[in-house]
Amino acid sequence: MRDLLEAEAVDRNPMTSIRTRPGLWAAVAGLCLLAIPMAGQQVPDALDEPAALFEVEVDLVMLNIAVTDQRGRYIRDLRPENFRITEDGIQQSIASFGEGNAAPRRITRTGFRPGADAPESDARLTLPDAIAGQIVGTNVFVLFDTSNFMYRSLVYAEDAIADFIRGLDQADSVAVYSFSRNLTRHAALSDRHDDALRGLRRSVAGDETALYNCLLLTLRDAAQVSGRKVIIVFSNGPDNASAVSPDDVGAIAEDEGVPIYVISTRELNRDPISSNAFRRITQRTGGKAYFAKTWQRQSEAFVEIREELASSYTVTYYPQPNPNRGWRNIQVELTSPEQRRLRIRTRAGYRPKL
Amino acid sequence: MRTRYEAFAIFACVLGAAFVVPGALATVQESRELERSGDPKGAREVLDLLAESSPADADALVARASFLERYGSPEAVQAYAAALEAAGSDMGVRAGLLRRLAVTALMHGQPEAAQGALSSLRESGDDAWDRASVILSPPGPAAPDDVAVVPGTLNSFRRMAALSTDMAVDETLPLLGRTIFTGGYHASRGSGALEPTEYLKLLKQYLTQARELEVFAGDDNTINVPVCESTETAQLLKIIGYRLRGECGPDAVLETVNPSRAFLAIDSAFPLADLELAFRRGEEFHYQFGPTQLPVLFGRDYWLGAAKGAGEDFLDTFIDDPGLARLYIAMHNLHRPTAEALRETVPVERLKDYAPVLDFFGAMFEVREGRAIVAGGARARQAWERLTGEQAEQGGRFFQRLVELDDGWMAAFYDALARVQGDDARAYFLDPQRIERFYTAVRGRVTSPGPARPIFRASADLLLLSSRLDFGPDGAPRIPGGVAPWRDLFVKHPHGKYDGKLTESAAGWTNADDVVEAMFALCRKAIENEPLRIFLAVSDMERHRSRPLSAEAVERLIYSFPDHGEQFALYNDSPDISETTIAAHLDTMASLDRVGNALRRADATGVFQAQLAIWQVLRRNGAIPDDKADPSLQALLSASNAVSDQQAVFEAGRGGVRVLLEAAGRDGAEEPQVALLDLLVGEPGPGEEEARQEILDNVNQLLTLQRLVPLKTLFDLADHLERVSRGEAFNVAMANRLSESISDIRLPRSLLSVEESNAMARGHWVERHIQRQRTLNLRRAVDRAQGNPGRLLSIRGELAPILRDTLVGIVYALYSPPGAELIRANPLFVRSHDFLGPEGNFSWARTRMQSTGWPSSGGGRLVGSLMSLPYELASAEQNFMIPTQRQALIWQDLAPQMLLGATLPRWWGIQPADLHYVGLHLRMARSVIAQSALDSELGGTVRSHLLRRLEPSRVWKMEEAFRRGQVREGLDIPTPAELFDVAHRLREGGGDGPGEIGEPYLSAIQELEGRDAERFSEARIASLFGMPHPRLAHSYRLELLHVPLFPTLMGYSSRILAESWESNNLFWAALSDELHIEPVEMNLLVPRWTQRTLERIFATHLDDWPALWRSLRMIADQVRSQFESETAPEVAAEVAADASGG
Repeated sequence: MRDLLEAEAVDRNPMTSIRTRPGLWAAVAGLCLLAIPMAGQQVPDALDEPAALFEVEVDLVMLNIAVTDQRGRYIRDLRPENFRITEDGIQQSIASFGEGNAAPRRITRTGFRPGADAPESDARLTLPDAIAGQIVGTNVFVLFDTSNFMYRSLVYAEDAIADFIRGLDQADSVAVYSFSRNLTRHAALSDRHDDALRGLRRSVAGDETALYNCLLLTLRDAAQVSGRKVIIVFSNGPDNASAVSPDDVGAIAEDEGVPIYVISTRELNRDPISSNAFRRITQRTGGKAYFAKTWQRQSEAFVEIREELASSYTVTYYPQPNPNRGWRNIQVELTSPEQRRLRIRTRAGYRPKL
Repeated sequence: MRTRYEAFAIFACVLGAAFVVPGALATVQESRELERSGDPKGAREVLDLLAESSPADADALVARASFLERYGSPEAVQAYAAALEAAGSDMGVRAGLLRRLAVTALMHGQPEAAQGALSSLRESGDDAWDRASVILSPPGPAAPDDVAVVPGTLNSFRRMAALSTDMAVDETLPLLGRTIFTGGYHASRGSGALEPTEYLKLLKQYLTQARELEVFAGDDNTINVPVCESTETAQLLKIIGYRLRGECGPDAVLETVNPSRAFLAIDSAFPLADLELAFRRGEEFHYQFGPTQLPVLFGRDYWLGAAKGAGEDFLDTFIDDPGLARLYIAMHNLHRPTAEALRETVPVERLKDYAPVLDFFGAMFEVREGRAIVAGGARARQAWERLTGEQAEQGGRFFQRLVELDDGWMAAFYDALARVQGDDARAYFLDPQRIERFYTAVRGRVTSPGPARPIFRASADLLLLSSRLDFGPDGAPRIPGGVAPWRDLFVKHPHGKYDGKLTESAAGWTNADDVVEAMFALCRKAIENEPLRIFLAVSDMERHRSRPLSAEAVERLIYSFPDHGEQFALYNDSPDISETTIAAHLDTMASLDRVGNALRRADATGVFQAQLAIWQVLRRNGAIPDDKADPSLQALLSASNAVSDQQAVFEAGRGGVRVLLEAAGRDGAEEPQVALLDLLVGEPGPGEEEARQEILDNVNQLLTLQRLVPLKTLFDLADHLERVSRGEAFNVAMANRLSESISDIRLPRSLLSVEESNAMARGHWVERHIQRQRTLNLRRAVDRAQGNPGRLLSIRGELAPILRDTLVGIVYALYSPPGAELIRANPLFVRSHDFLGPEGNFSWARTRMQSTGWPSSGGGRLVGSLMSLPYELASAEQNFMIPTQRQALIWQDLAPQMLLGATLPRWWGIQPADLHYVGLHLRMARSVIAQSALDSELGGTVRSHLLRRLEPSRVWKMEEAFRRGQVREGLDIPTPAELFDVAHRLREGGGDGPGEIGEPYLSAIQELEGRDAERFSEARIASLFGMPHPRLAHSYRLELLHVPLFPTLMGYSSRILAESWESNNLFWAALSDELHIEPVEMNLLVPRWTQRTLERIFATHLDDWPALWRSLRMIADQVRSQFESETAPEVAAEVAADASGG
């Protein structure tokens, strides 16, 4: 029993995108070990010893990268070699690369490889297919405001969210949470979108607004899920009950690699503090803030987020040796000079787990 | 035919066989030995094997059945049945087994098995249980007097009315009455007339919509839409406010067209998603939507007689008249025969006028056989009769008079005295002369406003005084310091008069009654009653002292209370602190208040308070022995008494750590922080290291997340600076290590500049405190000292704020509630603790949360002293709980207290026998009460015991359930704490003798006590499984106060109610015993179980503690079912936590 618990503890390491489903444990553990030399680190002697199956921790960093032109249009069909990623100035090797909801492909020294037939000799250089397969689709956590502030517009908000869920890719999983003073989980993360719609329509309005408290709790849930994940907050803006600050929540989202999107129904100039907080928290996590007063604008924002999910790139890498145990700055650039004018949105960095 | 006692005596011999060991000699004995050695699980396995291998061995089977019954296993029923089959023909033995079978079956909700056993008893000619027919032919639920009709499904209505869906149908109307009264109306700004709130408007709009849907549903009470493209679709969508976007089929989407109607549909849980899915899939849609009937107490006509503007529909009339709703709640919650008596004697219109008084203060009213059963019995009756001017013989009229008198003061006074527990207190308060004297004091000359006027009871102090007055061995109330200091408080009060009349009369006070009378007189004050607060706080200090406080000490305490009263709890965790030390503590606080530099004052105060908080914990867990308590506290005080500069603050902190470690017997060879945490987490017993390590790891993780600098790093650096002052070269690497760890501290990125923040926050020094650490550059400081030894030494003062944070952080981590989200999420949470407050005068005040709900503030922070830190941390954490029920109400003041009771205790060195002792008491009480459902003679005895602890209305409800054959439901009415008390009462004087009604529990209890009486003393059990009572007892020590369950009180909300709820740890102990969980696991499981209990609460109003009790039982059932499939408790807990999303 203890073994299981320890396995679970490793599984909850938020830096490890390969902690996936129980059935994958053997493969996961083995491949974690294999991944280390690829990152240029010393090959541990333990490699040849019987695998300490559940003791391995791997800092696999996952980035969601949105690339747009100057008019905000998404740039598609980029390839791994188009990106240059550095962490504290140290160049990183991309381990896997995917666009939109397609399964990410592992990267070898020679570029893309098909999955299952990877020769044994290449295994150390690749992200395993079994793991890559878990990153298909996006795990979308919808967190919507049911506090007193939203009381009048709740039904329209629900319609907009319902449209968003209906339009998600079949491969995407979605969870529906709401918040007022406390968090409510209406529908657990699942690819059964009908369940999410049922959960959405079970909400109850009322009470104070503790957005950041509840966003933190949503992050905690998201952190336990493998693969690509985002949180979409639908809120009226003014938080009047949270005990955690937006910046602390943003920092955790950054560390966990979870982009946050916010759709605020409040007019920008009516609540500058919340608006600024939304901007900061979304920018630093690689998400985006939308200020949409009318329900039509809200629906448009959802459409745009859906488009972004379908158009952004999912890139993973194993960090190169870096003595810095504090904040690590991530920079993503496009290698081609003609692409330099394109805009890139991703998280600004992270802190390794203490 | 044998009498039931003869039959029992024979059966007791058989039960004793489990101990004496006849037939299956070796193995039953082996089982006993295993149980005695602390392995009940092993004992159970032996008995199971024995039952399997020797199915005809009656003795072994009886031993197993008895074992299972003692441990509360529902399998006891089958085990008794198996034992019965193997039993011989001895009628006495068979009758005994049948009785146990019947009682255990009733306890575990298996009526068929109970009926079988009772039938067999009857057939054998044993009819000693005169009420057995109730079980054999249960009459079922009572037919309601009348019904009110709710349109649509009950759950939808309850959602819209904000009512718990956990409640029984017949509780719906009274609960609705409560929400109508408390949340349905507010006074208009202009005229003050009552206007419906938004809640009520929505409820009424929903009723309209539900009636439309009912019409649409037609006679078969089902909303049918055969196909998407139909007129039914259009009609239905119009009612619920939606329209179809897109064609019927896969693209069909429902969207809002009428937001008001759509909101009602959503909020009432209309299955909109299913309707849309049916349209998309081309399927039929069916939804049951029939009316629900709610029982109406006394029938509709009775209430309509008092309604203002009674309409056709009872529900509408009820909702429109908050006064009527209030009367309905009051009458429903009264002891039913009393309500009947009032109904017969008092016109409903007149009762309506006194509904608030009845609602708040009627719970202890009891009319039995036409007579009022008054508080204090025959001795007090004449006093009550004189005061009311009505004879108790008049039953309902007596209580009518009681509620009509003096704007409700008489009723409030009666209610407080009727709830008094304890023989001394009852003898004192219910003395006829004192009743009249104290009532006169309470009443005063002007009775308005009455105590029932506000929305919460305004007579909180009456309850507190009557339940917390301390009595000496002679049965007289203890007045700390004698009468003189209290007389002086009124005569020479430095800040003016508390009460002019009392100031005049105080000069003549000579005895305890005079002081108590004055306290009663002050109970009617609407504003804070400071003298009573002081009196109760000092009384709590006196309560556990071996030597009473001198008059001088009490006087000092009285005058220190306004500024330092919150700190008095320190003395209660170690009651024998000397008066010299108390005086030194008061002096030190005053001296710290005089420190002029705000930053230094904050550091010195923080270091001082953290040390005392650590000292408190070490005293509570016994790490600092009695003989070291006073000297060690003295040493801490003297170190902090003269903090002339920052260096002195650092030295005081460092010296304090040394004092604490030495007092706890540590020699100083270990790393100070390691040794300190080791002591604070507590001493484990054999085999408890793993659980203890988990707690220790958690504490260390929280300290790391807060990026606190270890004590060793700080002390090493200080030592180094001392050596540098003597000429040693400065170690740059060492300084850099410190700088690196501090520079990693992130300041919140405020939207405002520092100047703006400071201007808006009026003296928030917190950012300066943090900024000072971030800018610390030891190397530069050393350079600037230019080799001057004095200046080099003084650099150590720069470490004082860092030391403060580490010490404070240790206290935070130690008291962290389950989850500890705030500490995990905000790396500055500890550093942000504000020891001064915005006005600079919060240093010794109650801890409180500030800056919440303000996104630019950098997060919430705690302000004030550390004395109430455990409660406030729990309070802050409650908003991170995730209710599993929609519309769940997590009580603001209840949840923290529950969390506190789960995180403060450490169950090291507890034996399974300790858990079994608690479990045996709870089960014995349940067993005897269950048996009383069958036996009227026993029923009378049990009732008298119950009425000493429960309100008459609850005892009546329990007995009514028994009369309906619903024994299990009735047994769920007393709480675990009440059962624990009732078990003790039964043992002390249970009529025919507890031995005849308490088996097989009683023998086991007596055996445990025989083995080690001290181990199972009342005080020790309370110190293990009691609860902390920071408000009621001014202490975080675990205790069982045996107070009645308090209602929600004005000024306290549910906090006093929460502290009077002492059931949780008793309940968890019994559950752990039942499931043979190792006691040490409780350290990890109880916090998780408690959190899940809180998240599962589905309450309707602030007094709805039955919702808490229900949630406890539900979580226990979940744990039981998980244990059936899991073998290890920790795995079950994990699974459960995951299932609930934890």
